[in-house]
Amino acid sequence: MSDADLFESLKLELRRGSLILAVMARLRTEQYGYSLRVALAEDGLEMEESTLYPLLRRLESQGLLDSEWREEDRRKKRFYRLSPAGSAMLARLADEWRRISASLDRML
Amino acid sequence: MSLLETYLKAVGAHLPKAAREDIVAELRDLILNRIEAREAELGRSLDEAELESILREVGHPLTVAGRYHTGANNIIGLELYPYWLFAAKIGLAAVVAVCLLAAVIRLLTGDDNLSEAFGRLVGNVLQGGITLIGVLTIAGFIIERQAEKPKFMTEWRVKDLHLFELGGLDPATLEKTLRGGSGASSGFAPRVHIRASDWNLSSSPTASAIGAAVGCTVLLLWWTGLLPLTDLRPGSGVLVAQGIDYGAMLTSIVEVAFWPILAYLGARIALELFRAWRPAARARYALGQIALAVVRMWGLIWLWSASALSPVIRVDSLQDLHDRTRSLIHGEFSLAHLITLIVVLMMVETVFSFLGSLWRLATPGPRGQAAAA
Repeated sequence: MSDADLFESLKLELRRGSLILAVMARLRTEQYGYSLRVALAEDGLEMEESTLYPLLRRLESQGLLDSEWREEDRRKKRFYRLSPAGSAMLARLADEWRRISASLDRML
Repeated sequence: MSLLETYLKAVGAHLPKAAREDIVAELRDLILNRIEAREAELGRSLDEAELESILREVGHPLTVAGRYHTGANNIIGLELYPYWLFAAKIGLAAVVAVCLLAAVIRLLTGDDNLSEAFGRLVGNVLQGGITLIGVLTIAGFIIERQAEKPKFMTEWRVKDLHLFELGGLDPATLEKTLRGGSGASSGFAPRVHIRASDWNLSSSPTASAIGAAVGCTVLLLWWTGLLPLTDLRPGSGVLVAQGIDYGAMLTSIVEVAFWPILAYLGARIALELFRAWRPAARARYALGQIALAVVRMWGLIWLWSASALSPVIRVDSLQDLHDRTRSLIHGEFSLAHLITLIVVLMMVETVFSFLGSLWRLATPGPRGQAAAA
C-alpha cells in the first residue's frame, strides 16, 4: 500500500467516528437527505449518500431522530430532525468529543 | 419501465418488506437529486449511459439493499472467525490423517498401487474437506445469530490453551513448539521449555476434551458414510491380503457392530463435550469414562474371541503374541499380525483408562487439593 493510500485509509477510520456527531449536530435544524449531505460537505465532511441514508434510518430506529414525508418541488422527500432523546444524546456525545479532543491536543 | 425504476425494483426485491416502500422512495429522491445536479452541470438531460453511470455510482442493488439490512451482515463475524478458522485447520488435519491412513493401508494390502492410492487420497481429502468446511460454516452461522456468546469464547483458562498451540500448522511453528529448551536462543526470542508435563492433557481438560470430540466426530462421520472416505470403511469393497478376505470379515463385523459402534461414538462425543463445558466435573466425567471403558473392553473381547476376525487375529499364548510382534518389527508384514497388535494395545489402553478413571473418581481434583492445603 502506498503512503497516499495508507493515509487515505487511516483518514477514513479517523473520520468514521465523527460522522454520527456531525449528522446529529446538523439535524438540530430540519433537513432532508440531500440537503444534509450538501450541508455536511460545506462543513468539510463529505459523506456518500450510500452511507448517510442507512445511518439516518439507524439513528431513527434508535429513537434519536424523527422523520416525516413531505411533498416539496412536486417530489416526496423525507425530512429528518433531532428528537428530544437525540438532543440529549447529542449533548452527551459533544461533551465526550470535547474531552477526547482535549486529551488528543495534550498528546499531540 | 425506465432505467431508474428497473434499478429501484431490483433494490426493493432485497429490502425488508416492512420498510421497502419507504426506502425505495428515499432512494428515488436521492438518485433524482444526483441526476438533477448532473444535468445542471451539463446544461442538458442525461442520456441512458450517463444515467446508468450514476446508478453504478450509487451501487449494485445487492450492495445498496445490504446497507439497510439490520441483522448480522455476514455468515461468520469478525469475533467468531478465528475460532472457525482454528476448528477448520484442526478438522482438516484430522481428515488428511484419516485419508492418509486409508491410503497407506490400501497400499500395504496391495489394493492400490502408488498412483491409485495418491489419486484416491486427493479425492477423499477434497470431498472430506469440503464436507467439513460446510458443516463448520453452518455451525458458525447458527452460533453467530445466538443472543449470547458461547462459553468457550468468554470463559476460558490459560491452562486450556495447549491445544491452540497446534493451530499454527506451518513447519516453523511446529518446529518451535516441538523443539524446546535447546539452549540456543537469540537475544529477544523467548525460551520455550517444553516438558512432558506440559503435554499432560489432564492439565487442560477443555483442550483435550475438544480434541477428543473433534477426533470422534470425524470417526463418526466416516463410520456413517457422511464423511465420504469410503475406501477404508468396512464392507465397502474387496480387501484381500495374504490370501485372507478381510473384506468379507469386516462386512460381517459391520453388520453386527454398526449400531453399537455408532452409539459408542455418540456417547463418547457427548461425554467429551460435557467435559469441555464443565471441566471441573471430574467425578461425573470419570464415571462416564469408566462406563465407556467397560463397553469398549466388551467390544474388544468380542472382536478378539467371537467376531469374524477372531480366527485370524486371536492368539492363545503370550509366546504367540511375542512371535507376531517380533515378525512385524523385523519387517515381515502381515495384516493379521498388525491387527492383533492393535487390538491388544487397545485392550491395554482400555484397562489403563479404566484404572485412571477409577483413580480420578477416588481422588480430589486440583481444586480439592488446594482447598485441603
